[in-house]
Amino acid sequence: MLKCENVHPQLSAYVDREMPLWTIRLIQWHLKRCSSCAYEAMRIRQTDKILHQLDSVKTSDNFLPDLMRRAAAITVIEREQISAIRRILRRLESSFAWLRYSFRTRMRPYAVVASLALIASVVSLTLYQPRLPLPANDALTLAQTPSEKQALLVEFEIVPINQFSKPHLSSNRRTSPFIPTDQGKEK
Amino acid sequence: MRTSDEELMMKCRNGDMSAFELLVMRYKDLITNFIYRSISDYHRAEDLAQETFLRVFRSAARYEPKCRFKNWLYLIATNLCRNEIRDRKRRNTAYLDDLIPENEDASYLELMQDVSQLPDEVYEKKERQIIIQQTIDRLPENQRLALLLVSYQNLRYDEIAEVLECSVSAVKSLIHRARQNMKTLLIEVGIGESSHAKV
Repeated sequence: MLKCENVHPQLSAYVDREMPLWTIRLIQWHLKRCSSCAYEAMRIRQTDKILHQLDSVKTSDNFLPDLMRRAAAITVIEREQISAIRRILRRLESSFAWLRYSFRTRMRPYAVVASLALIASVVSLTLYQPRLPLPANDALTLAQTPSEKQALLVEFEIVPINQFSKPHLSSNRRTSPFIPTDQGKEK
Repeated sequence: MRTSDEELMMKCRNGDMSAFELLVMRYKDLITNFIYRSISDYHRAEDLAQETFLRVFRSAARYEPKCRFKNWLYLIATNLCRNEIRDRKRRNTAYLDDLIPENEDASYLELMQDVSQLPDEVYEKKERQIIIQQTIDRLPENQRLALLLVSYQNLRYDEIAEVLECSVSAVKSLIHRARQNMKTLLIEVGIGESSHAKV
């Protein structure tokens, strides 16, 4: 069953028929039993009737002609704006017309030469393949710090061939093709 | 068959001035009445009604029939009314028009020509209308607009929600409060205090 405090805020919507039919039926059923809510609904209808006592006003006779004149003026302004844009475009076109004209007449041989040069440069760039550096993957190049590089360097000592006894290496990490081998010693 | 407002607006978008004229003919009185009730100034209401239609005309090129034309039109009019009410509040202006009702003499003459009513009755009716309008003016802005849209323009709650840019439940609450306030204010001024009030 509906309570008065729930029905009260709904009365305006009920008077305007702005609710589902089943809610209208429920409120109608409540109003039949509750005199205070029925009185409230009656007061809302009465207020509405009072509001409708106001006469409606009519626009003056020159409302429509005035409005249409103003609308037409807007159309003219818009057209003028469009024509102004066109005028700017035309001016730009005319200012660059000399370029077009000279290209058509005098610039044609130069343009042909320039385009041939462009084509030649494109072709030469396509055909030219620069020699790329060899991949640096040896240990000396890969070494990060100077101390590492120093460690990798080989020290040579010039020894007369007859006194040649044993290779003197500062490091034995790497075998260089320049290091005299045992084969040389035998010789 | 009556051409819909949206169709007329699409024609107007393509530069058809007669379609625009037809739209104005359909809504000019409704919009002028709505603005007049909101701001209580007939001449300004006419100006704002013209401005409403001009805004429609200007934005015709961008018009997309997503919502109803009528709601869109009322939305523009409502925004203009709000601006006008706020401007007046900011300037704190008491217009002479507010003190002297619009076209008072003309409307009295019109009423006097009606021989079915006695001069006393005519005067009483006019006085009553002035009081009612002043009572409407005393309502808060949103309540006033919602009440006018539902009572005079016969808009549905969902349409009012679209115009006032709020939810339907908010509209329901606004209208309920507006009616409650209106009832209290009318009792204050001596109208509708009894069930025998002239209705």
